[in-house]
Parts: sequence; structure tokens; C-alpha cells
Amino acid sequence: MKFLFPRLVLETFLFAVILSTFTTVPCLCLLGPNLKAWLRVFSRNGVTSVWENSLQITTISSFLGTWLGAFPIPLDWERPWQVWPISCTLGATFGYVAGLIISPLWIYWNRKQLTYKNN
Amino acid sequence: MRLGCGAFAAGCVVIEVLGVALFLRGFFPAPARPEPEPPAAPAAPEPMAGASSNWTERPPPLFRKVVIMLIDALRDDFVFGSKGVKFMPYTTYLVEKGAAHSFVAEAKPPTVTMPRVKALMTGSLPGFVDVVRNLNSPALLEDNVVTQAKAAGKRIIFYGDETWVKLFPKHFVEYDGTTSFFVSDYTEVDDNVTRHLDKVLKRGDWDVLILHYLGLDHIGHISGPSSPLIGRKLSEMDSILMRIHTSLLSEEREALSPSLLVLCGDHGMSESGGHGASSLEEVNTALLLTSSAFERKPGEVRPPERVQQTDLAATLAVGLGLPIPQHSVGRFLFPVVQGRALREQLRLLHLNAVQLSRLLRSRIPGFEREHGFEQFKISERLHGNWVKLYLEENNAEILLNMGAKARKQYLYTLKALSQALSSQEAQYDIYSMVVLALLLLSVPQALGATAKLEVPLSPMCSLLFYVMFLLLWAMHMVVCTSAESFCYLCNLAWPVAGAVLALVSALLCGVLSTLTRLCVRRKLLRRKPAPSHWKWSELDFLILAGTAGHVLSLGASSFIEEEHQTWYFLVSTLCLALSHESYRSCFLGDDEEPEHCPRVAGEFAGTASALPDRSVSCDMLELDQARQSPSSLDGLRGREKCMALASPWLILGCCRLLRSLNQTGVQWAHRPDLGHWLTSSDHQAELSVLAALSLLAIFALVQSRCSSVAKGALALGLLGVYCYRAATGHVLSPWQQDNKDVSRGIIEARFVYVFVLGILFMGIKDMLKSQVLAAGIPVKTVGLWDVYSGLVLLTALLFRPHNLPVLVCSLLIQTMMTKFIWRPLRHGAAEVTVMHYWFGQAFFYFQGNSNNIATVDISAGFVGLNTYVEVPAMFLTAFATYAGPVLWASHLVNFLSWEPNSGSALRRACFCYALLSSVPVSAYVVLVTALRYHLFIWSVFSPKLLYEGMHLLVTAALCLGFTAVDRAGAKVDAGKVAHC
Repeated sequence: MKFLFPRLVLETFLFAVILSTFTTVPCLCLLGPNLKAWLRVFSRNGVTSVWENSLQITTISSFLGTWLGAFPIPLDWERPWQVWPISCTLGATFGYVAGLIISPLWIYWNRKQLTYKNN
Repeated sequence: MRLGCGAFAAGCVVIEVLGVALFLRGFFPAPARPEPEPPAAPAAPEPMAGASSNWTERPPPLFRKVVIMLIDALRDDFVFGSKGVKFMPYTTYLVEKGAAHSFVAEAKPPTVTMPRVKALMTGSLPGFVDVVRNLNSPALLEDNVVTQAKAAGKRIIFYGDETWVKLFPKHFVEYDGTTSFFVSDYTEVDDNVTRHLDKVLKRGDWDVLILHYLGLDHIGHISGPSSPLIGRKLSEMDSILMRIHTSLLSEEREALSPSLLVLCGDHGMSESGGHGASSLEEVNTALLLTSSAFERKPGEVRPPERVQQTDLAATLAVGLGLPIPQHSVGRFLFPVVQGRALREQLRLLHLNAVQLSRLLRSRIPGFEREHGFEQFKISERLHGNWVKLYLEENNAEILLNMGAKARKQYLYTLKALSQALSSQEAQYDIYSMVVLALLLLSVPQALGATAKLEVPLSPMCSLLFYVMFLLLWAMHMVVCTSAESFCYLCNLAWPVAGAVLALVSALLCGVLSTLTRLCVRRKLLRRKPAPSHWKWSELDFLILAGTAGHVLSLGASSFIEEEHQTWYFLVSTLCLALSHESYRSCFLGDDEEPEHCPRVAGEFAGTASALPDRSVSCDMLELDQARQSPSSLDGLRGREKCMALASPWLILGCCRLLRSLNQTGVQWAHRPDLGHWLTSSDHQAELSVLAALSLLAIFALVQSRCSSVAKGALALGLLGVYCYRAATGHVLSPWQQDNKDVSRGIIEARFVYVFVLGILFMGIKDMLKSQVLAAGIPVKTVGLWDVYSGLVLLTALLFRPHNLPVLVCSLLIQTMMTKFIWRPLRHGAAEVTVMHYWFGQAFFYFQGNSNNIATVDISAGFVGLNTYVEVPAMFLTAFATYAGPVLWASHLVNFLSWEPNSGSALRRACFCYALLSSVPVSAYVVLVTALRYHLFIWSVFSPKLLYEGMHLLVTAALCLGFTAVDRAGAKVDAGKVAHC
């Protein structure tokens, strides 16, 4: 009956820890346990400050990196990093780093258009 | 001139089906064999340096009698592995100690019976198209061992699979064919072969006896290679082998000439029990040659040597003293002649090499430069020198050394020649492929360009059409007259080819004119500010990215092998996106919600503005209705709100459970899964409980919206399904505990068929009634739902019992999505269509399919049929295979026709559905054309091409169904449209 339960539980758990470090922890620090604020930040035109803007970009890019990181798993290259969840972890890390780089640049370039409701 | 978009889409898909059919004809060309030489060609004389040899006759036969015992799906480890030691003691004794040679014969894909039988008897490699022809095998016209043996006056007797009787009509002096299509029977097929044995073995009036046992393959199809039934079958086969062998031995003692007993398999068996692809388990077959002529030193251990399956034809020809079949690419198995004189050995090697080099000469233009051919010249010279010395009666030791050298050289030559021949590619019909790829490419563009086709009839367009037509025609003439190559389009009659070209040019014209119109409109749009309301939600991005990603992934063979992963991944992502959306609309209130309505079908082509006025006005109507209706999730009560928030997660859970039900694909297919656990004989009780619960759940989920009569019929039908499974021995029956005999359940299955037909008939009658009497939407939707429940009942009958949870989950997800996601969130018709399509594809793989011929469950074609009847069996198999997509598509029709203003939504859905399934097909056709020399073209890409073709056919049928429902609903909607 063991096929009903996920394999590689420990690895998956560690991957979840990494991913939530990149996404949930910053969100919790900035927004607190406020579901409405979370939903607002992750909808279109919902951000109200520069911080939330960078939060949005880094979180989305880490999720996107994780999502794209799953693609090489079925390929038959037989590389050691193709195994679940290594490629996804790599994707999450690269995505987070990319988000960290992109968000200040994006904010800088769009500083004219950025008008927040609160300010 | 205008066509409605639904009907137009259906028409396009039908054209595309024809295109794919023609493409397949070009892709799987009938093997272009050279004209057969006159069969009475005399045997090549023995080479001799400077003079002519005195031995020009063909060598005498090595064996007086030959018995070929072919066991379907005899994998190598069934004989040489642990199973062989355990269940086949006599065979193991022969392998280890007896006068026998054992080999592992490698079969080339497609590992399906008929091409394999052809390969065994002709020694050539039949193309992939033989899989398609597997169902009605025409007579084998190529040169083969059986025909040669008959021409040489041998008396051949055959018992077993009737494929042989069809392949070799009038070849056997006595035969009894058993049909291979009743998969669930694995005892009677073999008893029908064995019952003749005693009589035949006593008589001495035959030279060749061929037995083809099917039982092992059937057991594999039913329960896989690890089933306990396999062991029993192997023991049975072992005892039969012993009987034949002892009888042959006792006869030899009287006749003093050796006979040969061949035990072989035609293909292997994959870990799931099917065959057809190229995994190691399917390719490796056992081959055992036994004869008292073989010498064996005591204590000598011979591990089975790896050979090609095609080598057997040459070996049999040599053994029977026949000419080797002309198109054989094999080399005869040298150990067979090891006991003969050196001169005879060299003579036989020479004959085989001459045959192979002739074949090389006829197939490869630059054959002189071929490595094998050069080697052949060297070995012929060595052989000639040796013969000269031999005839001059020289020193024995020099002779022996030279002979050994010549023999070694010959063996090397044969290997090189055989490899050069087997690696040769089949000839593709490039020209036809290019033309049809053009045709296919233009269809989705024409589909995507506009929701309604405006057939351009302006003089400019007709001029363009004529120019293009003439251009194509000139190209056709040039290609057909210049190339000596084999080409299907050139062989077509001129009017037909002309019609194809005209169609291509017309479509190209249409595409060009639409593109120019689009460009003009873009320019206009650029001047004006972009329409502000046209915005894409995250879901639309996901849908577009998923569709594009799936199409791109078709270029990699691993992604094709593991396509189920792509769909599971996309569906999971879809669930997450939906959950995000439902949370947002629940807690934030959806301020941007009304924007869902205008962006519908058009967004795919990126031409939202191309929607003609009528459908836009209908959109406005929809929009108004949407505004008037109480807003989304706020209308739901507390508990329902919770359900709406939880349902995406529940759906994810369902998908996770279904994933562990059937492992498919290649890389992870060997993992243990719930399906195997349930079907193993120890867990029959669990399977029975699960099947019963699933049937109850199916009833509970479907019945609520059925008409009362259909409800009763459905209940009885589902009961009948359980009875059927109990009768066939899959599940325990509560009322007949000790009834062990397994029947075919014909009566029960037919009982269910009656209800299926009854429900379908009632549903269609309701729909027609609603049209004639204009009785309104309720009657029509009830009728549609009845049709849907009829399809569900049919699926429940055809699915294997362990797959019934797939059906339950599919119904459950449909119900939850309808109630909590699509309705409250008010998704557009296009989005709902895409989601249905994705779930349909995912369920195609959930039910255990893959892009591999071996996973097609052909046993579904025999439910309720006594004998193999081609049309119903094909239909039932196709329906059972594509049950997932078909059920989801019919649910889509149901869902959309409940909605107010169903007509335009249905038309757009049909259009979207056609577009969604024809884009991958066209892209795939182009990809396959480009990748036709890929290493995996036969094992991965070709089966997928067949699957895509079949899927397109199913889509065409579905689109026609959509259009029919749309037409049926047209009258009901007519009043509304007039109002709007």
C-alpha cells in the first residue's frame, strides 16, 4: 500500500522549507497574518508600497522558477540534478535571486508610473 | 458567404483528419521492395580461384524434420531466468546439459505478432505500417521459408494462431487456426493446438510442423508477467516440449537422420504485460534449437548468445536445404552447422553471404564502397583459394588453418552485411509529407484567424488562387516527372491530386487574405488607443503558456514518453490558479469580474476585434445577464463558501490518488501501483468492494439530473456491470460464493448494452422532441444529460474494475467544478473549454494509457462479443481508450447548454475545442517530418503519431456532435437571438 503515500518525504519537506523561506517568511514579516492583505498583494494593481512591490516580484519569480524547475525531471539525460526535488530547489533559488535583482531595477525604471494609493 | 464558427470548425477538423490520414499514408510507406527475382535462380556455385568448382548443387538438408514451437510473448527470462528454472525443468535441462543451442533473439519494434511472424519467416524487417495492418493480415507475398519449403515439396502442418493461415494460405497440408482476439481465454486457445499433437506425432507423413501457442500472451495481457498464471502456463508448455522432443528422439532412432526442434517467442512482454514498443523486456525473446545432431561436450556451459530474430529464417532455410529468402537480412546461426565438414560449412556461409550481398546491391546505390561488400570480396577470394587447395588435396594442416581463417572472415562479413542492411531506413514519401503538412498548417491558421469564415471571392483573391494553383501544379509536375522516387501523391489519379492541390491553394489564399486584413486592422488599431477593457487574467496566461508549452514539449522524445506528466503538471497548476482565483473572489469580492465575458474565443487568435457583430451583441447580452445576477460567491451560504474554497484542494487530492492508480510512461512505469495491487489475485475482495462502491458513487453522482426512466435504467445497468465483472471472475460475486468457473459474461454484458442503447435513445428522443415542439431548454438539457449518463454507463462497462475509481473521480471533479468554480466565478466559454480539454487529456492518462501501442486495452473490444467482429470491437476499443476526453467533452456540452444563451457559447466552445486539438497535431506533423531520421522515430514518435491521428478523429466526431447539439438547440435559442 506504500504507493499511496508520497515517496521522498524528507526531501520534499526540506524543499518545502526552502520554498517557504523564500516566499512565506518575507510575506509574514511584511504583511502579518492578514489574509486579505496577502490576496491584495498578489492580485493585479494591488500593491500599495515599494516593499510590497518587491515582495510580489520575488515571490512570483521564486514560484515561477520552481515551476520551470520541474520541467527537466522527465528528460532522459540521466544527470544527478534531475531528481525530484533538486531541480525544483535550484529553480526556486535561481528564481528568488532573479527576483531580488529584478525588483529594484523594475521599481527604478517604473518609478514615474508607480503611484500608490496610500502615498 | 459566411459559415457559423462551430460548423466551420467541425468542417476544418474533418478536412484535417483526411490530411492526417494522407500524411500517415506518406509516413508509413508500403515497403518499397525490389521486384522479386525468379525464384528458380540456381544456387551460386562454390567460388574457386582460377577454375570452376565441381560442387554447384545446393547443399543437402541438415535435418529431416523440423518442428517449430512458437510461444507468443516468450520473454527470454521465462526460459533462461529464474522462472524457467522453476517452471520449465525439461527445457532448463536441455539448455544446460542437452544437445541444444540457446540464444536470446532480439526482435525489432513494433513487437506485435504479425510483423514478428513475418520477420521470423522472411528474415526481413517489416515496417511500422504492419502494426496497422495487423488486424486484417493479407497473404504474405514476399519470399519466405514456408513458401520455399512448399515449393520444395515439403509437407507442412500448422496449428495455432490463425494469422499464419492468413499469411500463408494454401501452404499447409493440414491446419487448425485459433483466433487470437479473444484475450480473456488462455486455456482453450492452447488446448485447441495441443489436442492434435498425439495424432500428428504418431504419423510420420510431414516434414515441418509449426505450433503457435497464444495462451502466454493472453495471460500477459490480462494480468501481467508476475501473475501466478504464468508459471502454470510455462509448466504446460514445458511438458508439451518434452512430449515433442521425446517423440522426435524415438523416431530418430528408427530413421537415423536428425530432426530439429525450435522453441522461440515472437516478442517479449513488458512489465505491465503488454507489448508493441521497444523496451528490453519486449524485445528480448528466447530461442532454443535442439537436435541430436548438435554435439555437446559434458560440462560445457554455454550462456545464451545474443542474436537477431531475423537470423532464424536463414537458419531454417539452411537446415531444410532451401534457398535463403531473398529479402532476409539475417545470417544463419553458425553453431547449427558446427558439426559438419569444413567444406560444407564454408559453402553454406558463402551462400548466405551471396544472398546478403545481392540484397545490398539492390538496396544501396553505392554498394561497392560498403564495408560489408568489401569484406565479402575478401572472403570469397580466401574461400576460392581454399577450395583450390582442397581439390588439389594439399596438406591437411594448412587446409585446416586456411579454412578456419576463411570461416572467421565469412562470419565477420555476414555480420557487417547484416548490420548494413538492417540499419537501412525505410523510404519516406517526402513530397506527400510536405504538401500535407502545408495543408495541416493552414487549417489551424484558418481556424485561428476568425471566428466566422468569410470566403473571399474578390477578383484579387481569385487571381491569387489561380497563380498559386498553377505554381503548385507546376511543382507537382516537376517533382513527379523528375524523381524516380516512390511517391504516393504522384501515383494518385490526376483529378484527385488536382483536388488536393486546389484545396491547399484555397486554404493558403484564405490565410493570406486574413493575414493582410489583420495587418490592415492592426495599423488601424495602432492609431487608435488600445481598447482598455481587453486584459488578460492569470488564468489566461496559464492557459496560453500551458498550451504552447505542451506543443513545444512534443519535440522531445522523453516528453512524449512521459506526456502524462505534462498533463498532470498542467492540471495541478490549473487547480492552484483556480484556488487563487476563488480565494480572491471570496475575500476581496471580484471587482474585475465582468471582464470575463467579452474576452472569449477570440483571444486565442489574438484577434478579439475580429468577432463579427452578431456574436458581439450576444456577448453584450451575456454581460448584462452577468451583471444582473447576484454577484459570485457572495451569493453562496457559509458552508458552500467553505466548499468553494476547499474544492480545488479536493480536486488536487483526487488527482494524486488517481496518479497512484496506474503508473504509465516509460521511466517510472515499473513502480508498484494501486492498479497492480488490486488486480493481483490476493486482493480480489478489496477490488470487489472498491468496484461496488465506485458503481454506487457513479449512480449517486449521475442520477440527480436524469429523467426518472433513465435513472432506473442506469441503476439496473450499473448492477449489470457488477454482474458482468463477477461472471468474468474479476470480482467476487456475493450470491455465488463457490462458483469458480469463469464464463465470458456475454449475457450480462449484452444486458448492459441494452440499457446503454435505451438511455441513449431516450436522450436523443428528448432532444429531438425539444426541437420539434419547441418545449424549451429543460427538456433539452435533460435529454443531453441522459445521453451523457448513457456514455457513463458504457464506460463503466468497458473499464476494467480497478479503473472504476477513475470514472468516479472524473464525475466528482466535474460536479465540484460546475458547482463551486465555473458557475460562481463565471468563466468564459473559452476558458471552460480549455479546462475541460486539459482534464480530458489528464484522464486519458489516468486510466492507464500512454503514448505506446502496448497500453491499448484491446480486451475492451470483446466485452459482450462471442467472436471477433471487426467494427464493434474497433469502436469499443477506441471508446474505452478515449473515454476520458469523450466524457469531459460531453460534460462540456451539458454544462454549456445549461447556461443561459447556450447557442453562442456552444459554437465558441466547439471552435476552441477544434483549435486546441488541431494545433498540437499540426505542430507534431511538422516536427515528425523534421525528425524522421531520429533514433527513436519508430519506437516513440510513430506510435504518438498514430495516437494523435486517432485523437483527431475522435475530436472530429466530438465537434460534429457539438454542431448537432447546437443545431438542435438553434430553434430554442432562435427566439432569444431575435430578442437580442
